[in-house]
Amino acid sequence: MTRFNIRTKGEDCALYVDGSLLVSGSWGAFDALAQAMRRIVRGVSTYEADRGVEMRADVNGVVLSIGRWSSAATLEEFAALAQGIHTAARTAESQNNDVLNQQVADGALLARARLPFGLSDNPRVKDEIGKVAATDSTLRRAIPFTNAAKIPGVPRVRHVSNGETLKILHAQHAQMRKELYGQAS
Amino acid sequence: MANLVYPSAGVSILSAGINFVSDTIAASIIDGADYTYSAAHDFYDDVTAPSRVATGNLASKTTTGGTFDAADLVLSSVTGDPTEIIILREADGAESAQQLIIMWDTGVSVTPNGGNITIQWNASGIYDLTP
Repeated sequence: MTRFNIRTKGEDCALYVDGSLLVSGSWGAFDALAQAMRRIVRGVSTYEADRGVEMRADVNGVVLSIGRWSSAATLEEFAALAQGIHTAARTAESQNNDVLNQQVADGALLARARLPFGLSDNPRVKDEIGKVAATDSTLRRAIPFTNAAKIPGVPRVRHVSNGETLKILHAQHAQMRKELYGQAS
Repeated sequence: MANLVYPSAGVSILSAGINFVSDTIAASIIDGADYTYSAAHDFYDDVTAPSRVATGNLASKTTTGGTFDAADLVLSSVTGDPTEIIILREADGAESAQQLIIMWDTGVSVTPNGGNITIQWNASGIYDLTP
């Protein structure tokens, strides 16, 4: 029985067969492969071919060929492999910097709104979410908050321009006036 | 795509346009082969009907110290295509008015076998922001 193993490293995926590397590529390529496999599983098509990968379905199951390697599988086994490749592609995609940044921004919004829905199991991303939720000025203005002491992580230290410093001081002054006199002027 | 908040939902959350306690909040498991995310998607009618495998409403919703919580969601006797996506939405009114909120598509795959499926909200995702 053929044993498949799918690994991810950064944004790339690799498919091993019986311990030997069969094919590797970007998460996008593996995602496209998974999509093609799912079309076969769902009966939308009986033949798919792309970039050296070929799959053909018949009444006995599916024949999958990658380069010179070829193997037959039942539809259930093929579906399980498609699911595994899809999962690996998604996992690898989540290592993309743009995706990570978006997850931090979205996660900070949820944390600020006190909604218990996480977008990542990556401890470093979760730490960053805590920092952004505690320090992001846009979020703090939109969802005011009295005590951020228990947010995981520490505030970020960064250089600011003179103009930005003036804005910050002006905002602090306006806030003090509001607290003292009940108005923001 | 990856796990994300729908852009239109981000605006609603910032403007308190969604009340997670008083509004009906539902979660659906979705067949990723039939649904392709778009940042322009905002309401449930953007999620094609064939992609929807099962759905249920969040129950036992509470806010303790301002932090929202809800019971794990059990979807009963689920059949249909394998699912790779969970979509959380505000579910009051017509589908064309049900705000899509969050899409998870990483690590949430499940193949229905006719039994129940539980969506367990991950406690480690909670940030305790209360004093």
